[in-house]
Amino acid sequence: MEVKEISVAGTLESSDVQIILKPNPGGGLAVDLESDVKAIFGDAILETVYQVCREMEVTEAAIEIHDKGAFDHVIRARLIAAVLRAAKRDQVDWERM
Amino acid sequence: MDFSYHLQEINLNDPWDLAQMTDLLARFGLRLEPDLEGAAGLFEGERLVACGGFAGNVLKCFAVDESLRGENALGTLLSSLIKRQYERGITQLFVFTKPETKDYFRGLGFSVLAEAEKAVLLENSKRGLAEYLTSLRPLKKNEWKKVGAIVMNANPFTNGHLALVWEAAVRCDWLHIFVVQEDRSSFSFADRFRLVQEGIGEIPNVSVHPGGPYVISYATFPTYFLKKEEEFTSTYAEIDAALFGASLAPVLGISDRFVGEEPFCPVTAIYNQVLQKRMPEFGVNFHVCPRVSEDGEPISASRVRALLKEPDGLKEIKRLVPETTYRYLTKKLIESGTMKQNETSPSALF
Repeated sequence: MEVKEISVAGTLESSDVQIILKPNPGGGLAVDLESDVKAIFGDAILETVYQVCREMEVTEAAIEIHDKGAFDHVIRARLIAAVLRAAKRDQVDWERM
Repeated sequence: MDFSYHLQEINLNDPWDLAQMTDLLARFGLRLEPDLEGAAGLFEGERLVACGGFAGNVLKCFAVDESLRGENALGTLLSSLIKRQYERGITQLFVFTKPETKDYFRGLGFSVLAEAEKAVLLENSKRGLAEYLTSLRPLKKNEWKKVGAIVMNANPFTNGHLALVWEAAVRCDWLHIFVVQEDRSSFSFADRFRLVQEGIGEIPNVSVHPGGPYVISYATFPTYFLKKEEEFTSTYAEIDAALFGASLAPVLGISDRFVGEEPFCPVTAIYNQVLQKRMPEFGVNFHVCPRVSEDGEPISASRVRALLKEPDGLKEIKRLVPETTYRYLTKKLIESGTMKQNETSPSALF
């Protein structure tokens, strides 16, 4: 899925995560992670992010993450929402989703 | 967060909502700024306990009741305001606030751009300023030893501006002119910028740049967190000087900053005073160039704007501005219906 425009999903509330997606032509996946629990869960969060990108076939994007202690499934959900918003509707394979 | 609080948009057209926000801000010695375009609040039942708003790309007027301290009310408010800003296509967001509160914003994804004694400016990106500066980098050449800068509103571009440009250009290897980017002035940014470009014509060592969000406009500078009116201008100048001196100047290799002497406008006079003090701290030589006069009176854009309202003002204006600005103003007057096309005498058009 191609990231065509800048999008945001999520909030800065406790236990949530705010994810901002921007096009990144020629730059691959560039993830910038800010997390309240970065020291302990930083690697796990990045793993989730890369996994979702693989599943949604996102190969190029600047992903800015402001995590306030969100659980894994919340991060997935917010990232999926952000990707869907950044892509255009005709790209979505709803059956696969 | 306790679920007895709910997030709701504050309707700035509703007197009750407006009064609640004004009162909440007032309790903390803060003011509701008249140019707010949107606002959000946390309510406990009908009672407003936290608020925040925005105008353009600036987020401001934040207040949180004591009962909500430690509950990340700001996070909830910011999330809502950021979402609304993104929805209207504004993704580069700025916060002006008092230095004591900067860490709250830093914990919510904002980075400090410039700090002064009474104010701090933050942006919602670690890289926004850096990316802007990178885009400017090709504009620096090692063979240039003396690089000058002028920041101007040029509302509109006059012979006074042109004289300042010449003064600076002949003393420097290269001169950068930054035009303040906002549309609160009498003339639009697009028009003002074009008039600067056209006005400087063939001067070989000058380039003109849009100020972007990093050359701060006084028109949009929030003052809601400052106590005294005397502090507004000096605080604005301090922040602007800090941003210019610490970021813009080094990247472009700016060694000299030029301004025009200010006999009339108290705001500009204070601004110049602050720059006089701060520029040398950043290794930038500061020059105040005397105003050029026409008929014994210093030329100023405000004088030009005042003359535009007078019936025969255009004749007087002709002596105060370059040909390109004169033609533009003539056209504007015709378009506004103030002057009929066939009423202009041929001599007025040369």
